[in-house]
Amino acid sequence: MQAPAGTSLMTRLGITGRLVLALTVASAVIFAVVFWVNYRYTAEMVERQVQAHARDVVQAAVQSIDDAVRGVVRDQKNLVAVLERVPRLTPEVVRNLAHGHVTANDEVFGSTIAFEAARSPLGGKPFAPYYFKRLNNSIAYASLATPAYNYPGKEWYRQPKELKAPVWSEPYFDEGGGNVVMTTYSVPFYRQVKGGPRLFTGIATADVSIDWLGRQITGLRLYNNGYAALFSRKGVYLAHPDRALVLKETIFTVAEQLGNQMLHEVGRAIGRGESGFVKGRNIYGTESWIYYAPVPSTGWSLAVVFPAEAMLADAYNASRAIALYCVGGFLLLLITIILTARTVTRPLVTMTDVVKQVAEGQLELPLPVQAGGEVGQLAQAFVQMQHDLKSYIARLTETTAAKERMASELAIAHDLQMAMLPPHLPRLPALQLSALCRPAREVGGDFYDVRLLDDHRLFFIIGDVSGKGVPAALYMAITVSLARAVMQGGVSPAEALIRINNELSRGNDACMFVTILCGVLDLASGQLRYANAGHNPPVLCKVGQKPVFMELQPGLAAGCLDGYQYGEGLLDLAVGDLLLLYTDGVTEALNPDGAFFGEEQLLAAVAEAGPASGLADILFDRVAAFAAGAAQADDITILTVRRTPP
Amino acid sequence: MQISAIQKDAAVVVSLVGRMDAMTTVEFDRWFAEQLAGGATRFVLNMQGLDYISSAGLRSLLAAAKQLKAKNGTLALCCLSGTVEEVFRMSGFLTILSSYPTVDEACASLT
Repeated sequence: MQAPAGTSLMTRLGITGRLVLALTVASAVIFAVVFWVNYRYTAEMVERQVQAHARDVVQAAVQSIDDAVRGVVRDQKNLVAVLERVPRLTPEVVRNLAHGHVTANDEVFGSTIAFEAARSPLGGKPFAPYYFKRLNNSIAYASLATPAYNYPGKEWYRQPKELKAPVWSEPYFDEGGGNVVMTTYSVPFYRQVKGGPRLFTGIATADVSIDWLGRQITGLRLYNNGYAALFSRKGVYLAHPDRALVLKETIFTVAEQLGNQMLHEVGRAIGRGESGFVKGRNIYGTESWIYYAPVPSTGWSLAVVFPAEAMLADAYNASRAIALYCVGGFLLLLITIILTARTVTRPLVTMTDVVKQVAEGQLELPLPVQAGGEVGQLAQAFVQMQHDLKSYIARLTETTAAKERMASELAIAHDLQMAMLPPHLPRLPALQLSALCRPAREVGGDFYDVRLLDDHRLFFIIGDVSGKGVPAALYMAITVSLARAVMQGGVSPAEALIRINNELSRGNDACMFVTILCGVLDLASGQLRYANAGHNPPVLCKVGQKPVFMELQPGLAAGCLDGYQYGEGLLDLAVGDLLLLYTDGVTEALNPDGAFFGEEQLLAAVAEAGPASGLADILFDRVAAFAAGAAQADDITILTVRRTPP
Repeated sequence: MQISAIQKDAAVVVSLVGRMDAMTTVEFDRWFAEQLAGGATRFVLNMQGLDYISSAGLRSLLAAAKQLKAKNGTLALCCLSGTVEEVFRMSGFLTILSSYPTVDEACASLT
């Protein structure tokens, strides 16, 4: 069977299809939402964890750097205190102090105490003894007061002198000394000269190797491929897993090479000593989280970098696992739905087959009623329908039989009724007669009769019983029989009507009545005596004139009132004159538009037909043509009498 | 056919509108039986709106008139015109049913 156009996909699919489609869509949406929400939540959680972890790591590292550096700062402070307070600074004392500073501190790789030439223990000559550790940890000495080195011009000397504050130098690679990365902590010291003001006297320095720092930084244990980097205030790489960058590149140069704005921003923030957490591409082009914070004592900054992908790997893995569970659950659901739908539809399919066979007439076929639930109810309904169908068919058979019986009875009744009408009209030399009677149903209430009373008198009668069908037919039969009996007695038309009426009126509980027009025509003279019991006025067509309706005294329809007195009329029919009697089935014939044939058309039809014989049939054909197939509403009877030349 | 009735003085004034044929007469019969059961015995049938009456309709009115007669009731027609009046006239019913030009005259005749 082809689905009709315009039905939706849902209605075209079976129950299974619909369930599968609906639940597939619904569960797919649910799974998608669960998956998405879970992923988002996990990702946010990871980000928070990374941030917390980064902060912890950085703070711990910063603390440890600070701790390490603080020792150097404290010793340096002590050294400076000695330098400022010792009463006499001799070259020996100075050398001892510098030497002692180097030997006493593991972190201090080298130290010099450089004097302003004016206030040097050597008396106006530059003095800068420098002690430093060799690779074998022995202490070496070198004088920096050489014209080639010219220490007063060096930054480590000039900066603290001008700033009047300790300065950590930008780290540098010490090629001459230990081939290590160094930074120099330079502290200015001042001495009172002979009761005068405290004057800048020189700079005490401590060279601190920050190789350990690099090792410590690069050795930070960060999870998931994270790494740390240390920057100087100017953004120079002090420590980084990629040693090629250390002291050779700054965050700015790298940012520029990579066109990485984010790194640039970080560099600037570092320069201002700020801390922060940003997200962006690291120097390897990997999307990362970066946390940075300053090391307060030195002005450096530590940054930790966590590649996002690695960090989110767990979230990804969790999501993938969830996705797998979702798909698995979904498949399980799908199978369950299909199996359930099958069990639901299987009885339906079975039932459909059985019902089809029932519809084809196998009414005794048992229906599968053992199923429970809605399908069981449906089966019950079908059983009921099957039962009803059986009884309907039985009843229909009965009714049909009854109908057929009635039809055959009515057919017989029709024949009987038609037999009550004259089988043929009298053949008379000076009279042209025509007549017909067509009941609207099998039997009707119209009738006519024409018979010779004797050689020169013709009796005719036309009647129309109220209503139609069987009651009218029975009443018609009574009337016809009465009329015949009465006329046997050879009474006048008025007397005939009086007798018929009295007979009919008696015990007429049904209040049936009949309109009758009857007359007796003298064949020789053409004189017509007639009486009317409420019948339609006949059409009179005098020779050479137009047909007209006769003016009649009405008279009451017969059967209404016992004892009613009917009057009589007289009419002279000339040779060639036509008298046409009819029942209202003619004038009240309806066409499909509901219009009556009407009296005017009747007159016109009579005029048109002229003196033709068989006028009754001609007029009936006209009426039938007018009705144009519309059902005949009332019985039609026509009786025509025309005097012809003998 | 539409049947609408109002009580006017002692009479039930019934307006019959439309066609009174074999089909619609059944409605009138049913209505009239109810009225009779309700005790009404004086009726004025206003035929102004009636377009057509068949012999079945006449029979029904005749039956009504006879039933009323048995109960000492009466029935009067009014406002007959056109083909309907012609049918009443032709069938002779005007000789056994009283007919008046107006409702008021019909009502007056019943008292």
